[in-house]
Amino acid sequence: MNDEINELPPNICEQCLGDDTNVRMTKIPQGSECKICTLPFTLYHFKASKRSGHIVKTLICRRCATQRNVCQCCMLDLRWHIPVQLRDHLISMVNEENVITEEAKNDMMKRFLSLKDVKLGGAQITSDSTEADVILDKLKSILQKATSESESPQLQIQGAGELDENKQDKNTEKYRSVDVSHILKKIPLNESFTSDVSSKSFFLYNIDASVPEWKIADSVSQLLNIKKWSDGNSLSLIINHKAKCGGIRFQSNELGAQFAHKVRETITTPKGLERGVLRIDRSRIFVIPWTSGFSAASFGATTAENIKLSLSLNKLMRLELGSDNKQFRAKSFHNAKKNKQNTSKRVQKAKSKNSKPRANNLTL
Amino acid sequence: MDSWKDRFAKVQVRESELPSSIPVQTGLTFNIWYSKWSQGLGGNTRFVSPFALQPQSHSGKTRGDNDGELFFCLFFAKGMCCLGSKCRYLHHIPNEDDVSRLALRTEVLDCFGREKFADYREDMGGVGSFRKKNKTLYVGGIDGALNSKQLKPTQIESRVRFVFSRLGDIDRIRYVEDKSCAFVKFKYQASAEFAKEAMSNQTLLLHSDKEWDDRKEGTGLLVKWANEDPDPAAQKRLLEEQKLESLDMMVRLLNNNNNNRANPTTSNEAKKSPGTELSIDSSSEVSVSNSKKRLLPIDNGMGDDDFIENLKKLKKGTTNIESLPTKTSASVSSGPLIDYLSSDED
Repeated sequence: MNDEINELPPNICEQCLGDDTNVRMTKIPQGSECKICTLPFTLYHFKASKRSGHIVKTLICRRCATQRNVCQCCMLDLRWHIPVQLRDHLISMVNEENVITEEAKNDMMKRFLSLKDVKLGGAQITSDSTEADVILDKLKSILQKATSESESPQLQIQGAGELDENKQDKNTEKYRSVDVSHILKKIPLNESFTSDVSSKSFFLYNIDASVPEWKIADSVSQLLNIKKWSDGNSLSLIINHKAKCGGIRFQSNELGAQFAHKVRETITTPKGLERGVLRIDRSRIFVIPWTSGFSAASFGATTAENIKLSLSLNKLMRLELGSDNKQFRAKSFHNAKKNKQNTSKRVQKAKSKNSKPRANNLTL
Repeated sequence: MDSWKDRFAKVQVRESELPSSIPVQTGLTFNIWYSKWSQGLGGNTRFVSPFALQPQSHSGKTRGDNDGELFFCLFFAKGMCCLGSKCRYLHHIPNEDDVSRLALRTEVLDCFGREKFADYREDMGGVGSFRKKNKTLYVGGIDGALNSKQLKPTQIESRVRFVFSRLGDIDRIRYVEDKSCAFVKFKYQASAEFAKEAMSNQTLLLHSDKEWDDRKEGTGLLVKWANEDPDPAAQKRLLEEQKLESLDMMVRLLNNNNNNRANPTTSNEAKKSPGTELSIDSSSEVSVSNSKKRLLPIDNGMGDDDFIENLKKLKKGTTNIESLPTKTSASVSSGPLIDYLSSDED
């Protein structure tokens, strides 16, 4: 296996090589097994700086690295310094074709593939500087369009909503027999959210399945100006994504009162009850104080109960918000826009989030 | 509660109390290479670890924090590091800062600095794969971890939630009662890696349970990497997530590119760098970074920590520039590399 490819210098990116002007490298012919093709290859190892305690090793052979246009040590793309999958995804989004780096499954195919002189997946583009520039130009135009077009996200949201409703109808049929009245009884739906409530716990509903717990925890702790980690257990959060609702419990009544005070935005239901509104990304989470407290069992003991609970809450929400869904959506979008103008540092993030549905159109 | 930064890490176990490195005899001969017994029935290899990580009380500063160490102490995660503040690895729960510092290496190494593999192990245990960014853990063996104590599904779920939420930001937790297993998704992959080691072979019993004293009779949790969720809704979510991530990356790439174009002279300079490979490359990079840096002698650039810090910061901003010279020179030029290689080959 001592062919000339093993005599060529390794493909290592600047980031791995470190800041030193001189790097001492050790070369070991056939020193290791390539993690991708399982063939032996010339291993190089070095320290990024004389003082660092870590030895950086080449993990894959030069052939596999050039096929994928990645660094032999960190396996990130040599041009953009991003993971291979992300690179392929990006390119397929821009070029509107499906680009993937296919990996062989069995050992024989792995070796066979590695001996062929080809570029795999996105490497065809990133290994060539002109093509990569073309991609970047395309990217720029896409992003510019995304920021200027502000109508399409709304359309997308509506489309998604309709789909959800279809699914809901199916689910209502399926879970008709499940009884959740004992759960609903314990949920404080008749309480009203005012800024002077004294409660440790709050009930949260209308939580979209795509909203992770940490986002809710982050936004609450930001609101109250507390740090989650250093403060230990100042708040505990249980979200049941199947039931699309959850509960939050603060360490003390004071924190709860502070939270109620800080949540400025409220809506009033037709029955005259107040609901606090917590905004996360594009979704609104409604808040009700929960004086009796809660446990994980408060959201149903089985999956069927969870889903049924989410359906019941959906029905309730439709009543609370009035049947005119479209108006609500338009309103919420309008508000989101306002928010965007208000926040200064978050604008960049919000932009990329709003432009997401546009990219949807692009690939599908 | 004070933060871990204000105190030194505790010694979790005294060295004299560490268990023997030879496992309990289950065969006739002991294989010192694999440190396993062979020629026997094998026996049950599952056990409850006598040590457990107490995230709040155990974490603290170590020598690793002073040295700018990136990786976490595997023994700390298992609750059995006998070095305490003298350990050269980090002794705290991975947080956002650590994740961003690890980001460069995280593709191929896990948060303990172990190499990942191309494919998952057959049983989905172990270090995991570098092909997939897996933030979800499968938690099995719950019955054994509870010593078959009968609990309501929601009670089990809250116990799982309690122990895992101390180890990192949770994305979602789902307990499947018919299969009696749970899926825990974290915000960061590093948290999942850490939690996997920290919770493997741990018991779910609490001090208040009457079974607590017999906890070692159980078998402990089985924490593995999760396969992809077959639920179509979850898959749709995953796709959305990926799209968001790529869009984020698009913006970053474009910003980088703009930086690149803003100072075309520097990138030309880098391109022109003659074939003397690495040494020239990085020296030209020093000149790219900042004119102020030129005042410092390039050869012992590592003499000053601030200098390195600054360089690193600048480096992040100008990655695109640097990618050019390596690619061209590393693939085209072949001769000069031997100059420095031959010097320290042994």
